[in-house]
Amino acid sequence: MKRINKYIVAVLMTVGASAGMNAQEALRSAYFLEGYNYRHMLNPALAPELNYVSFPALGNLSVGLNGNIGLDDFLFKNGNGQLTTFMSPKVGAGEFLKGLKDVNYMNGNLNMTLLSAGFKGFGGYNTVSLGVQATVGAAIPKDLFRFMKVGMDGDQSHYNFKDLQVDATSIAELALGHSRKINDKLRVGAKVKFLFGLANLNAKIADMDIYMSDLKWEVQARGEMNIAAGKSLYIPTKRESGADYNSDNANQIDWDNVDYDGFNTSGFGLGLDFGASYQLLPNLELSASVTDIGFMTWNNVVKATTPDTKWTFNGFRDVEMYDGQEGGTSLDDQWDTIGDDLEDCMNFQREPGSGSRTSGLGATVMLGGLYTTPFYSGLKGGLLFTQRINGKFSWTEARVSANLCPVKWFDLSANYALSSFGSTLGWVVNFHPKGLNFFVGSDYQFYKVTPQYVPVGKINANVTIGINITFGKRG
Amino acid sequence: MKKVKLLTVVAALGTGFSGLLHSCVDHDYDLSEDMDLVVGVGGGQLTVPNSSTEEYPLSKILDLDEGSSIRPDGALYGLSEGDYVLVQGGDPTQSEVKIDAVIINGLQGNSASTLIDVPKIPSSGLPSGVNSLDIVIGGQPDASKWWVIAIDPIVNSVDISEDNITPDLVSLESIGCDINMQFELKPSVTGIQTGTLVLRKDFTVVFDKNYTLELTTPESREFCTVVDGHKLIFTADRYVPNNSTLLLPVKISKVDFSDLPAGQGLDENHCFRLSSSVTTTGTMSVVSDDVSGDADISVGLLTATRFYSNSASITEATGIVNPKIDINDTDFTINDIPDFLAEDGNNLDVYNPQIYLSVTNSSPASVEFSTVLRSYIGGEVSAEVPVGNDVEPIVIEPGNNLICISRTGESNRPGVTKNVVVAEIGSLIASIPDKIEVTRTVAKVCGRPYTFRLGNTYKFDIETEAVAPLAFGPDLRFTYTDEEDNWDEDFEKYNFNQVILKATVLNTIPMSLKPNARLLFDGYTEDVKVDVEVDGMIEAGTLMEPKESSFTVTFTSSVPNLAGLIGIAYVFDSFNPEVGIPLNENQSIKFTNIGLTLKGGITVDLND
Repeated sequence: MKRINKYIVAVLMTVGASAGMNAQEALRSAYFLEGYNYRHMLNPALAPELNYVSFPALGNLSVGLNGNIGLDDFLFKNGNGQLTTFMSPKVGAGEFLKGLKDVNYMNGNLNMTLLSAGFKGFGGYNTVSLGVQATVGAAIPKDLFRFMKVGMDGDQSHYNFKDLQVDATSIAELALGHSRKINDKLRVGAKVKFLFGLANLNAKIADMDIYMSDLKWEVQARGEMNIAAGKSLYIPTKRESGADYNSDNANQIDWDNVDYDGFNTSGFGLGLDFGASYQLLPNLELSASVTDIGFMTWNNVVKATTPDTKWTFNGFRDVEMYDGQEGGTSLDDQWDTIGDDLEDCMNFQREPGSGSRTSGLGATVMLGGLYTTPFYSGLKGGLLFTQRINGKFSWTEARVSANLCPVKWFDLSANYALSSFGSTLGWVVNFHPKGLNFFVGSDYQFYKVTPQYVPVGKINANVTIGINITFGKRG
Repeated sequence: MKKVKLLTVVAALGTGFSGLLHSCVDHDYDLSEDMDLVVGVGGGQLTVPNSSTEEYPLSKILDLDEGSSIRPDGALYGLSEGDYVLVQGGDPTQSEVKIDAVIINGLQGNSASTLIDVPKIPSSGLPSGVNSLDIVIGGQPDASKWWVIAIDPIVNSVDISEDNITPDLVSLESIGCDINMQFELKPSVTGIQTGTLVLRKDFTVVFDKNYTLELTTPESREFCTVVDGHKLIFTADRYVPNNSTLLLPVKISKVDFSDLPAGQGLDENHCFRLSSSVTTTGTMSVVSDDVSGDADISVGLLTATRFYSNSASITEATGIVNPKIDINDTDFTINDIPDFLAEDGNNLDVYNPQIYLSVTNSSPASVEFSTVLRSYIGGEVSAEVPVGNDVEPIVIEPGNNLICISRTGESNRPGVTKNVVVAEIGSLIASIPDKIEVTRTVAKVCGRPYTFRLGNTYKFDIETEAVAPLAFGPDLRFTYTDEEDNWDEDFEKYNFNQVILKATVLNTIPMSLKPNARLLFDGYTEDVKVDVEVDGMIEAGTLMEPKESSFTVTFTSSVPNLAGLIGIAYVFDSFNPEVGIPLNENQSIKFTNIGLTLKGGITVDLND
């Protein structure tokens, strides 16, 4: 049972996205499509044209991956036309490492709107949404790959890894929004979001030195880990679990005896979105939003740190040459000791007690401009600038789009973005006849895929799909 | 119309989208195809920090069983505590030396009868004051004394001979014998009524001067004694009734051959001849009471040499003898020796191996001795060394002998009576044999005179022991190999480019060692190999002066993978020893600064 619970925790923590969560994601490709019901997620001032109720769990379902690395960074041709991994001796270190960034990261996310509704009223447009999101992200410094590939580079080598990090978060969100027209040109909106933490894991090695020479190997790591999954999560130390321990590892987490015996929320947060749109010219509309201003407090956080001790291996000393030799130690015993010492050095030690951890949500700023062509009112050009502000996981994007609305019940957008993740194409098709809204689109359209539809290049891909029931009058 | 438009748009978008997807498929990255999952671990180089071992003492390297012939018993042999000595004793062999008693069948004496004419006795009888008529045998006549009659000495003969003397007797200087005979004196007188004859004091019977006589009866010794060994001289007057025989039983106990006339003694045909005379002299008297005037008297004397039996024995012989000495082969097995010391092709060049012969020679003679020492390995003769020869034999003296046969002439056991240098003896244990045999042993009594009791059995016992301090000479060559061949892993998925092993060694073992190694493959073939290059060696040291040296072993793989790898053999070629310094159980090698570098890392094939 304990083992099963442990896996549940792991799944909860790893289903989903991102280092530093952001609120429910919507398609940025559809930012300028008036028929897209979930523009209010990007800018609370942008109200849908009709009332709507989402199809349960399918109102706005988004799955995505982002990263600055891709499959072709890790798979190569071996000279015989066969694929091989970056660890193949036939792949040169330079060839492999030149494709990597100093920090290589990859985020995955799943956003599911369980239920959402929008309706006109209270002098404006109101939205209510209930959804969940899960994110997982990892950041791996280039030196780690260099270490894996090269090992010792000469008689002595030094590697320094910074910001090796894994983060997994799962939260539920209840959002209430309202927008209204201030005048003919200006429309504003705001949203308040209540966040309920389901689980969070953040582990990072902030700084790690590996020094290798023919005289010694040294490893020193400074790491921290925070885990929050409610009161039901029991993460014992070796002292508490009854495992073998000594004074050095008494507080070390005993992963084998982690227990999870029931679901609880583990945190609460509050977020605010603000937005506005302004019809600057008859054919030019500007808009701006700031979303996810707020915090998330995780309760019952288990905090653990690495002991910040230096592990040193000076070689095997006085290996006994026969069983029981006085003054000697067997090679097996020395191996065990070295392994134990390294484990003690790298393993997290739980801090006394449990507390709470509060962090910002990481705000997103979006600035948009929509230009309606004079020759065809159904064709609009858009420019959307997005700045995600979230520490190491901040990113920037500029997206230019062509938005076509040939008929009232259908519009589409094709766009191109330059971002921290590289360049990408986006697209969306949105059907919104009376009574139904169906859309599908992607902000990161991959160019090349394997025959198994795995993106070959930088692993930036997402797809969003939604089915909603609309009602009411347009306008 | 609207419905048609919608369907058209959907169809167009669907077709375009699927076409877009299809055109973006990169078949170079078909993940369903087999992927080359060979990975390299360790990259350019991986060096394990310098390591060290504890001392590896020689006692553990040799790993001797309790019953091994090699023992750290140097202190018992005048060496240092803990010095290794190969010690192995053999079964004792017992031999007998005997010269059979010689029976002399040719014994012959004779008799001589002498009749003495006595002048007519004057009627006045014997002059006043003279109370006997004296016959002086061997005396000078005196005309003034008619009653003193001188006659020549009486001579008898004794002949002793034997034609079948044992060839064990080569020449004789003397013999001890047990020849019993008697000398008879039978005086007689006629012309008087009653007669009593007196053999006067100093009556003498002289045997050959080479004889040694003993009077064998107490009665005879009451009036007679042996003077100068061969003279029977009366110490008192002896009255002998007329016509009675006075017996003088004597034994010839010794015959001296050193001054025998030509033709006598022991000849080359093993014939034995002694011919001698017995001369009788002295005064025989007819006492006066019986001598009346005008008596017409005649006096006779019968002398005879007579043997009691037809044969007699020689009990002892002094001279040059050549008895047969049969010495059985013996051997000793060398037990529980480390295999590497017994491998073919070794040349241990043991500095001073020693074979001890402990010989108890109860005979009175020194014995010349030669033998052959032969070593066996696997039932085959590995070396053969003659010890002693006709020109330079080993001489075993009477009594207890401890003879050390060695390479240098130095011995490690106390009480050695003789050191024999045999330079080639080292070849016996150039590689430690299974056994050493002492064979083809020839022993003979030295060509000098000795006195042997004939018929007596003398013992000639030999015990052998090999003692070889494990110290080596300059030609030492042997190879120590230790194999680990139980790696229970399948290395088919693994390979490496180059492994460099460096080490510094502190050595107190008094021999240089050239390290080497060999990876062991099951079903090894020539084209499946890992090249090994060695640079440097372990220099010889001693307990007093440890030596530090370094070596490098480089393994370069040219195999596709390590399939069949089952272990590694460590090889140390030994040579250039500190000459004469024994191995000691406290000597050791200690590895420091052990550096293990993987160049090019390890290749792991993760393909199925």
